[in-house]
Amino acid sequence: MSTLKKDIIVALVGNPNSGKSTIFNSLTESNQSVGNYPGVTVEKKEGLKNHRGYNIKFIDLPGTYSLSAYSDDEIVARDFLINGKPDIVINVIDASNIERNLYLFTQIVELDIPIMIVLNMIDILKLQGKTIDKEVMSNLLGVPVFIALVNKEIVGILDCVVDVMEEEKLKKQITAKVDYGENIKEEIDKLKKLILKDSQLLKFPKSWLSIKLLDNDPLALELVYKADKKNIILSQCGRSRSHIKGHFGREAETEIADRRYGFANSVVKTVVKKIGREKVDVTGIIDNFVLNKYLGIPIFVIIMYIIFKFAFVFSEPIVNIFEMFFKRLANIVGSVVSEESIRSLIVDGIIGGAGGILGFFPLILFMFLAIAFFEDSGYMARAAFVMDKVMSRFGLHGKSFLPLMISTNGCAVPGILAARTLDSRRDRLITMFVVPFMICGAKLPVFVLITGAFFSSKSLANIMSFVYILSFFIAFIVAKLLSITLLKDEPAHFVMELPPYHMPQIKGLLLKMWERSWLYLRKAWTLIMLISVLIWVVFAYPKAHVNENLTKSERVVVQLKYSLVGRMGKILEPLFKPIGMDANRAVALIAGLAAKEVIVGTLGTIYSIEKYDSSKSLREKIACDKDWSPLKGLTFLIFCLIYTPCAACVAVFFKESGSSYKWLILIIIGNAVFAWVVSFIVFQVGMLLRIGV
Amino acid sequence: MKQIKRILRYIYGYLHRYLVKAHFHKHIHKHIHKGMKGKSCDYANFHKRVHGFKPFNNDVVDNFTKLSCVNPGEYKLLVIYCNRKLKYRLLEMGFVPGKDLIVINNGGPSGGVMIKIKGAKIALSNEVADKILVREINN
Repeated sequence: MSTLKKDIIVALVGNPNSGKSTIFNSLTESNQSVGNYPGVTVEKKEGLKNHRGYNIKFIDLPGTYSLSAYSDDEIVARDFLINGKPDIVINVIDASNIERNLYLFTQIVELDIPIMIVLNMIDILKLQGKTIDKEVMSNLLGVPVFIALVNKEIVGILDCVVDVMEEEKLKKQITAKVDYGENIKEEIDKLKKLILKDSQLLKFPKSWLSIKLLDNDPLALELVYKADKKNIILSQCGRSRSHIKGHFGREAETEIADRRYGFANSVVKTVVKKIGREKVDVTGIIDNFVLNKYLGIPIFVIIMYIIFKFAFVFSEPIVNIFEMFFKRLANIVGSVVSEESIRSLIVDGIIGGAGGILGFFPLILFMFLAIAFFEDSGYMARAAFVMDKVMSRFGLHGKSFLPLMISTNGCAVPGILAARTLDSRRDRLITMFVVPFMICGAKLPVFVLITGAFFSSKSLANIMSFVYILSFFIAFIVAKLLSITLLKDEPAHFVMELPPYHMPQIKGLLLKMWERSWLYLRKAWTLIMLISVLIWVVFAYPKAHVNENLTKSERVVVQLKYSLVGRMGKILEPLFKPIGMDANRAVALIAGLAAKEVIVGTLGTIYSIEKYDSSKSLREKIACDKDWSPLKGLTFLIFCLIYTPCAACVAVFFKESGSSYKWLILIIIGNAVFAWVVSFIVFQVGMLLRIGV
Repeated sequence: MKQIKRILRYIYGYLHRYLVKAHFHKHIHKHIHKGMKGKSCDYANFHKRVHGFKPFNNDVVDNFTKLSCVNPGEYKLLVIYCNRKLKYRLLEMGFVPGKDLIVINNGGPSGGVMIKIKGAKIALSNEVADKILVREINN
């Protein structure tokens, strides 16, 4: 053994749903970190492991079906394999689905990196009454093959990684490569010779690059455009492609894919053996119900209800503890700090703001846990398929329902982050744009307050469900508008694998839950702190000269009117007149730009003056006030529903949309204008028809 | 302005389809439902006219239908008509022309199609299934 211990970089590659993250978890145990690849919203997972004195760095690449360049995930995976210089690649293969998984293997082999295969999901293969011979597979492909089930094998994998590093002999694997046949081989050789002559292309694997050129791969072509002899190579490439097309009667890429599948098929035929009868296909039976034409959507609704119920029931005690904790903290700080303005900043600004957001956190944590369960068990892919029928009519993708759901009653920020699971930029943008229209946990109190003020408690539930439906309706309409205007050129496609059902591992679930909630906290933490301080400043300054005779609540109101927000409300009042709002509500709405939970608080402060009967609650005050009417309440609700989302939401949207200023302006100003127009129409029509005036 | 024009055009197109071409549409639907019920679907001539279809490998191809209007059963995949991005996506998921696939479930005129190809269950939306032509395998 050499004394120089160097780091080993190991990349994990595999198809989506191949159980790659399970293997990643068991390889690295808990030593993981999650980051982002620069420029794209693809998560970067890294894990460290010490084995026999080596530092092994595992990198979990996003799941892909191949190494082409048509989605962010694929581009990230292949970029890392080519430019990241991994020492070893571990290809995770779903044993129940070997043929398609080997298609990816045939592409990785062409990169000339030492490669290992880890077979996963052997239990599902056994259910199908089949078995796999790993020795034969190892001999046939020329790479080490492991079965991931028992802990012994994990040590074996680590041993093998170190062995490959230590022994030069193992580094040069003689792997089985796809035989493309005489005709294609000739063309590949022609291209290879040209590439060999070019100095800039030498650093890339030659046979891989020439096959990719035949494949008409956009990224490979980009590489060639930078090369010195691009004209010669490109013209040869065109000639080769037309030659193949003339000979085989179909495009080169189809022919190459066919050869690769042929290779995979022959491997499967020699390696997989049938030993028994196929057990009952549980997946098929469940799918008959879950994907049924009539039962599909009711089952979906029931499962969503279970997720919500689970999240609410389990998070309630923790939310209460959090609330108590923050109250205590505020009391303690209030008694310790004597300086008036600093105390106000800490108590009202920082603790209040942090408490407001952390109040949602347990709820979101449990929601993520429930979602992770259904995701890992395989139901979410079915749900996306069931919902796609509805969603595609509005230009949304089937998977968009998940972000929308997290946002409903939860928070729009994790909703926007959840839109990462969508493949195409178009679907992602539309989904992220409509997610803030949902009634999140912060908007909910506003709706409860206003509906409670104008409707009897009996019809309250109906009205609230009407508001929920309205929010979905608005989101769908906006999605449709976006899909036929700004994002018209990119059509949506729904192609999705439905993995077999299986029981998720608890450890994996907890890790997934923690990763996502941590992402939310990390993204929102600094922003929310900043915003809560900002809200405090805007409310507290400039300081009003308060008359000594006034009572405490009157003083607060005088300060509010004198503060920046109050002045803004006063200035913008003419703008709010045509939609039936006075300065008070304008102030509340402007404050709501920072965070929606401030709206109710601001209204409470305004209506706390002596003029109003102090024994009444805010709801009763609003119900009795002459400035309010059911129609005005409704327009206020609609405006709240549509107008610019909170600052944290906008900031996360900006980052996730790839820092596009066009979309930033659209979400800030576009939404405000849209809200104004809709409320204007509702209010004026209501006034004309004298409904609820 | 351009965007507003697009919205108006969309609404106009919507009305046009539903008012002026209502009669034409009725007939198309009849065809689709006929196909759904298992009687022979006369899409062969329809496609030859509209797309100028050239059969793969110069074989004589007849009796082919869209994947979106077939009954559950075994089929041979013939051609995929779509843009490059979707074509690659389908290729890497195992949709190679000339290979067999099993239709498990068809959601009807506007629903998705669920198929089994190379041992994996894959769900396609109606729009994607519309772009794939298949031929029934008669055993």
